Amino acid sequence: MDNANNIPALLNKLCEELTLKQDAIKPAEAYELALSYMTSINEQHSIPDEKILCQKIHSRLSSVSGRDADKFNELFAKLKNTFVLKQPVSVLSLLLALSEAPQTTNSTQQLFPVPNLSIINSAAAFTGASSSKSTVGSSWGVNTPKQQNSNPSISTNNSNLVIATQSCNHANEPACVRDAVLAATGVKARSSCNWSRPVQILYSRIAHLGFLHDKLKDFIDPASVFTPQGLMVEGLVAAIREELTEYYRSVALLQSQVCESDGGGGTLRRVSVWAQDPLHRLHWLATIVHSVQHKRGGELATCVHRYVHHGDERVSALARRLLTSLTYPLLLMLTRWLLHGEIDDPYHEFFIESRNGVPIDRMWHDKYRVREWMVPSFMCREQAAQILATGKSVVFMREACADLPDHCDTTPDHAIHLQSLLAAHTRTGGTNTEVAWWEAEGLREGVETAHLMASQRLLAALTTHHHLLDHLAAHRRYLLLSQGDFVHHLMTLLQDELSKPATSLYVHNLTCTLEAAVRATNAQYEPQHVLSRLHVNLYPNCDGREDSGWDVFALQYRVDGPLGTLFPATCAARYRALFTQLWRVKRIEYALHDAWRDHTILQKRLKAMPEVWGLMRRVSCLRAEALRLCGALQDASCEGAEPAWVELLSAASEGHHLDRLLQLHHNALDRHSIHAMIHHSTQELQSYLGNVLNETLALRSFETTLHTGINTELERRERYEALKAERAARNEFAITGPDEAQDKEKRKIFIQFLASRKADLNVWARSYRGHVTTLILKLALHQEVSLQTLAFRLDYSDFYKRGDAKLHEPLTYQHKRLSEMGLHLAKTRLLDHTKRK
Amino acid sequence: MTSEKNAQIGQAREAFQMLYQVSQLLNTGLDAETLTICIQLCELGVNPDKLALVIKEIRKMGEHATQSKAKTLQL
Repeated sequence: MDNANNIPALLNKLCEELTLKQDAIKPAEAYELALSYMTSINEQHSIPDEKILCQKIHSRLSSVSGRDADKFNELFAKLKNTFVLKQPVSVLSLLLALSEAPQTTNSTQQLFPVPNLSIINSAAAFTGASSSKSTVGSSWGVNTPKQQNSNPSISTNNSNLVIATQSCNHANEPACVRDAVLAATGVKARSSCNWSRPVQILYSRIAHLGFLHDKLKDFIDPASVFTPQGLMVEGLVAAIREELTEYYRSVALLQSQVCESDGGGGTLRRVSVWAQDPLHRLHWLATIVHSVQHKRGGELATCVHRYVHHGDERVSALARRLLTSLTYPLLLMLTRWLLHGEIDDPYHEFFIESRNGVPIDRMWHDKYRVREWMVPSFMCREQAAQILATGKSVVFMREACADLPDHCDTTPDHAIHLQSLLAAHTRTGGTNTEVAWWEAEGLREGVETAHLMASQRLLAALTTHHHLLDHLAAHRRYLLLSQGDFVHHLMTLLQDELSKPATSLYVHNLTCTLEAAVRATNAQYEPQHVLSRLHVNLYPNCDGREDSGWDVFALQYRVDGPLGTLFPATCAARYRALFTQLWRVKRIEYALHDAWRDHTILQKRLKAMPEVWGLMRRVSCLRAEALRLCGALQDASCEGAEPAWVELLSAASEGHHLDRLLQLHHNALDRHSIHAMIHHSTQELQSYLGNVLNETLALRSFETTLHTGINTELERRERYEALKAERAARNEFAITGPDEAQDKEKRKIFIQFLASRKADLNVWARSYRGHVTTLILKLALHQEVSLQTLAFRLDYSDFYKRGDAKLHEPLTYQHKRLSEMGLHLAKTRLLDHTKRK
Repeated sequence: MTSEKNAQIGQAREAFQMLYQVSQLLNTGLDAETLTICIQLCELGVNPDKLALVIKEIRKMGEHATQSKAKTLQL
């Protein structure tokens, strides 16, 4: 009894081994326990069936990972060939019993029901085939163990049936099966004409695999003309190649099973059952490949992404895997763009396009562009815009601001985010257990932080090194005339110069005047970088008109360097148009004030000339009217744009991103243009305003002629009086006949002059009021509310309304306001009424 | 004679390696020594289920002991 003696010794040894690691218990205790267990019930145990055991282990393994299961199959096959072990089964069952799988309930589900077949030969073959089946299923199927299990169990029932029914076909079955397996990889079979119909149908089903396989193979063929070039397509091809490799493996396994169990084991029907899963897989692969034909880059990703939403989990997982593989180049490009602002896109697949030949000063606006059609569908439009802005900021910092990103030594947050995305991708190799990068939360977060960081750095650099805010304020002060003392002084200095024809003006003279104006006013306290950019420029009209200096003069604020890209030529043109308009109104106001001064000086000498009093008074009233209109226009233009500027400045101090600031700046300019009525939505108003302004200028020239007329008359009378006094002093007759006649004649002429001036003034007043009324009407009818209120301000006392029936139209602001008030009143009355009730 | 024996030993070693791999695949937690003993026991006709039970029990004992020890240490 060598055995019996050995067992206790071995047990003792085992106990020692086991307790070695755990010093808490003594080997003796363990040995006692072991002996008690061993000797407790000494009944004979039934040695489990090898096949069943094998399948148990297999299913246990395959529930964890398919590769392990395959490995086990290999090992088991080898183990069977070595005959050293007498009891391999019991060793295996020991191992199985000791194995620590977390879910033991699952393994019972995966257990195949034992087929009680009459034909023992095929039972063995069946287990072989079904084990191969589960191998295939586990490596091919993704997350659906239950589905895999259901198929083989059906196949067991079917196989019985098939074997029963197809015994007549038994002779040529193996050849047929072999053909079918070959056909599955697209190899042409010899002939199938003499097979029975059911066999043909089964065969054709399997042969369809071959067709799909060929199609996929065409797609991944590098020489194929159908495959467009591109890195992302390469990614897709790689993924499909991987799928095909898996498929080949499964076909090879199948083939080995079929050949092994030669003699009726592998029936055509079993192969066709096996083919279910690969058919599904290959079918969807082929569908996806067909749909992505002639697509590149983002379009391709969008196309495959559509399948991710497929209801079938298997299709969805397949598409997910393909998409992860094919978007890897995109992720690389994206990371590079976000972190370094570089585009490495030889096949034009990235959704951001860099255009060649764009000068540096147009870089911010024109150099980079989102290719809308290339944005993958898993990215929203805002995200794409953010990505564009981020990379643009990085490039802008580097190119325009000449700012090297190296000076911050710590890696910024967003870099970590993106690198973790990359690392996750390379580590897992895109397995389906992890969340793919394109749907990970980290992507959105990474993009957002990258955007925030880049824009804040850019804005900080622009405000500190490049004085963005100073320049904005300077634009407003000097080009939009909000620095009052400077504008007034400049106007005074330029008054005479600008009245000359445009051809006799020279920029250098005007520049001297500008410098004088700066020196004399608060503008001298501006920082040097602002003053050095303020220039005078003349913009002669090309139509050959005789321009006065007023028409061509304009102030200019030259911005260059990085800011030049933010204030491009279009922006400068808008500022120029605004300046021209505002300057014009200002100039008219100034001229009217000038007229008032002349008038007041003249007034004192008019005591002896009562015949002009009436006319002078009337002119004065009309001038006041015109002045009020100019004032109201200027006020409105300041107030209308004020909120937009406030918003812009607060956004700049809060550190919003540059695109937002540019947009706010644009808005502010828009508001200004609307109130200066040179906006494209106020084109009609512009001409009416032009009429009014021209009329106002006409008043000034009218006054000039009036004043000269009066002045010459006054001087003549004074000379006449002086002559009279001189003669009286010389004791001569003060008045001679001809003198008196001449004086009378002159007075008569003067009276006539006054009368004609009066008539002129009446004509002028009528036309002026007509223009103003039209302007007010148009303003009141404009859709812009602030212009409607401007109409109300221009005619708050209903002066023009009383004069013109048109202004009674119900569309005007006043009317609306009144009617709203009326509505409100009616409502409150109604409420009161109901309350009383 | 010796060569035959050598071949047999080689075969045995190979078989053992395979079983060891299977054991690792199944995550049994047995080391090479223990596995050798277990295989020997099985070869001698010991009921594998019972053997498995024994090993599990001994492990459980060890765990209990360490846990109680840790508790006493904490106290």
